[in-house]
Amino acid sequence: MNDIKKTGKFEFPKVYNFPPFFTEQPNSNTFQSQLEQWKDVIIKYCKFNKLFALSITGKPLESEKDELDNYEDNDEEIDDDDDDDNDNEVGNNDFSIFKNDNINRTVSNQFIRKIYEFLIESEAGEWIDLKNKNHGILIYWYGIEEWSQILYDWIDNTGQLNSILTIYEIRKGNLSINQEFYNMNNHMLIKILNNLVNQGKATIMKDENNNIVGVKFGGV
Amino acid sequence: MSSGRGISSLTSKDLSEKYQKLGSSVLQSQKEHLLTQLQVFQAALIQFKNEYSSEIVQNQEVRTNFSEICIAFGIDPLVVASSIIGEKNSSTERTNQLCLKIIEICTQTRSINGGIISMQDLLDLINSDTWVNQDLHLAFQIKDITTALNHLKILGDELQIVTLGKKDYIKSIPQEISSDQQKILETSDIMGYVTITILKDNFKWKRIRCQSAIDELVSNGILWLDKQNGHAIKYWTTTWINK
Repeated sequence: MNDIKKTGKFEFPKVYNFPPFFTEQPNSNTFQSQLEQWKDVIIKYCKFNKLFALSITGKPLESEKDELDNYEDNDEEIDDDDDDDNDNEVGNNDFSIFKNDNINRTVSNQFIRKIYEFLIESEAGEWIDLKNKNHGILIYWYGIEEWSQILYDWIDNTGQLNSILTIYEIRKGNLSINQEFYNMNNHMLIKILNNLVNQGKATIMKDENNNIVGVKFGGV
Repeated sequence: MSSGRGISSLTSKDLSEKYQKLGSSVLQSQKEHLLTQLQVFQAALIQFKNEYSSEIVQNQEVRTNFSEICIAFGIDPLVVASSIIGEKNSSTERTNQLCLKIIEICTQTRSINGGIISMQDLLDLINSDTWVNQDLHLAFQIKDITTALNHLKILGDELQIVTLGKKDYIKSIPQEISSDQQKILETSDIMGYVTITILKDNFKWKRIRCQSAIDELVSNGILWLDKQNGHAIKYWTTTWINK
């Protein structure tokens, strides 16, 4: 499994060390600007660390796991009442963007939910599974249209129009190593591909079990 | 990882990698080229401004055209104008520009600080403005702000200097700050926050008095609520965001 990159060099903005930033503010103007600032932090953090999805508690999500075991051992499940940030995880995996150990502050689950809803509202996020939000959220540091363009341009520039690629080749292939979408969350890639299909720029091929076996780019 | 098989797959992969490299290097050089051009233009504009500043100030038409060109090249014409005027030593004009900047910053930061900003924060924000700081090499001082605010009095008393403890703040909201609230803000600036207990112990106020004064400050967005499980609620002053 790939390492989840540590917070390392990413420099959080000053407000991230301002303790009440982690509490929902009662004044609605303040709250709105707080949401904007959270969005900003999340997008920049994810972009910096090449993260495509966060768990419902704000931990970096790897998409490999989802593919392999179909969420079976999803340890991110939460009970919906009060915060319990001390779950069974260890070491670096304990990192959550909503938890700042330097100032000992944690965002409540309720507030996290509102931040996520705001991300989705402003088209910077999308639930991985609309029916079960506990599976986490996709973070669009580029909008879905922008990603579609980036992907399509790359296909075009590398002369891969009209050839058939697998999802794996796009996400993990040698050619895509230096691309921003390298290692992209599977769910996100499929959403982007579907968007390209809707624009008539790609065709998705499926087997009898409705699994995607390949994608062909270019006009139909 | 290939569309072909055998040797053909190798060559096609090599080729596409090469194409990719070539494509990105072309893009990169184009981008650099454009950036250089833009910089040359900006420099030329500033040069022009230095040579023809009197013309720009006096001739309406030249001024309009010049402003439009400035905007097109990403230069704030207001700042250019103020710099021309600065060179002309018209301190009134410079103060007027500063007034605009003050109003702008007070409005922009209101959703964060509830409309009360410390003089120092305001000054830092003005001086960190790229154009003021890097391109014009201006550094305003507190007395400049005070002068500017005196000018603004003509427009009404929306912007006021409030002194809390030893620090000056600019208040850009109509609400008055009661003397209890003044004490609270003054106290919160020392540690960053206050709690009900701190207020009760230090000022010998009844709980209800502390709570109502604080509640109003919180609902106006001047103090930020800090509520964590198992801890007493703290109320933070926004001047501590930058510490």
